[in-house]
Amino acid sequence: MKKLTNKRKRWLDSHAKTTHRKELKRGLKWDRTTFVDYSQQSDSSKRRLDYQTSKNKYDVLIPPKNFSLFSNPEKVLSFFSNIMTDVRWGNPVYFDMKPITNLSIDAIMYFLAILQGLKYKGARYNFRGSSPSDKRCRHLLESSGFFSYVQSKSRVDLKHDTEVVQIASGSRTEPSVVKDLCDFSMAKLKLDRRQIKKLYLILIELMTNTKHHAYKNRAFGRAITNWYTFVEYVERKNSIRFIFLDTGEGIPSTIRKKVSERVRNLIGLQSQTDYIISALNGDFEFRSSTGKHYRGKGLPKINSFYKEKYIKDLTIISNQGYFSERTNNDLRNKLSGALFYWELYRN
Amino acid sequence: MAKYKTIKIVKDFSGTLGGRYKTDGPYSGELFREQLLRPAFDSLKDAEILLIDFDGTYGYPTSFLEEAFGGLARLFKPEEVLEKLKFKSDEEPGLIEEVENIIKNATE
Repeated sequence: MKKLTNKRKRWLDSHAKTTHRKELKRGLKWDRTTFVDYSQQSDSSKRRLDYQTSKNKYDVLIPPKNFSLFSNPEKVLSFFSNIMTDVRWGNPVYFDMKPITNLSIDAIMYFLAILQGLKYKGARYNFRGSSPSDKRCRHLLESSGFFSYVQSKSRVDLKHDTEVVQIASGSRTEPSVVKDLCDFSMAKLKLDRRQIKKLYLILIELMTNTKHHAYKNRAFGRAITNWYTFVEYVERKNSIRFIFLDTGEGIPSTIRKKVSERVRNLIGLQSQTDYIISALNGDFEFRSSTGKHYRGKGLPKINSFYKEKYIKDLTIISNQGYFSERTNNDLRNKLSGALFYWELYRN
Repeated sequence: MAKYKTIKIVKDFSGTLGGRYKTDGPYSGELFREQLLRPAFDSLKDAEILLIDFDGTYGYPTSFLEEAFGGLARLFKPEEVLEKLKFKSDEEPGLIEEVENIIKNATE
């Protein structure tokens, strides 16, 4: 690979400054999120990218190698809070995913939620990135449907992977989307319609909760509350994994609290995970933020399906709360909204 | 002998049901109650029974059921609703008891 000449470097410097100024001015009209598959670029493009990132033209953000909210929540959440800080200062950001060796789509969905939030905030930002070098991670990213949400300079084959249902998003309850996810589950696990009724209920309730407990989530700008779903068939386990993200205020924030809990909150002694557990158990009629006794039945219903083993490995991260079979401890870092994971098996 | 009017939800409304309110999205419990359930309930004559057939759909979200049937019970009295409504659910027998409990507990 040839080295850049000094003349070429000076041209790139001045061109980058002009381009960046123009892009910042135009930032309000269109978001600028461009991803490249580094491995597919020509030598000259690689040299240009390496030079721009090395010369601090961009704030280079390198995510943790284990880029998964469920298995590595603290480091991944800390990484995302750095993105918000950098973009707020108007710095162009380069999201370098090349070093990632373990990728799960929950982190990608949260990243998309952040980008959408920035767009609605009217933030002027210039966001570029590169795909993972690891083939398996890159394939998962491509098949997830991530590139249909951003501009891509890569030769990405957007042909649908039949083992996944790509990331879908919305703000309302969408029965047609849920029907598609249920049909996918029936086809892969050879279930009939009666056996997926509970799955249908889970997904509709989660979408409805997104709309009802929206409020103003400052982390994502105005009252923009979206849900995101991703579904994947895991052949070796003959199971289907579901990931559902909602960008509302989060369960610990919206749940109604007793006076004693508010006091413990103020002095930092109240566990947020306990709020999630309480919402799942349907403890006390007044837990619903609406104050109506006939509301707030969705999460207890989902919990009952988990206890009777219709779904397995239920895991919930919301604000600093982390609920799962293996651990129920609060996190140091915060997730804005609520992230759900569960698996469905044939039996 | 009682006469029956029937609402078969999968045929008369939708096989894929939505959330609680019309603002939540399509095929909500509120829409079902306003468009189908309440008009049918209001038009019942003496000794007529309204039969709700739940079979054939993808499932019944709790918030849909609560807003549809609990909402009806909040407009009339739970006892009156339970007297005039009957339910059929061969695919999910437990659903009948769930709906009856929703109606009984549906006070403001």
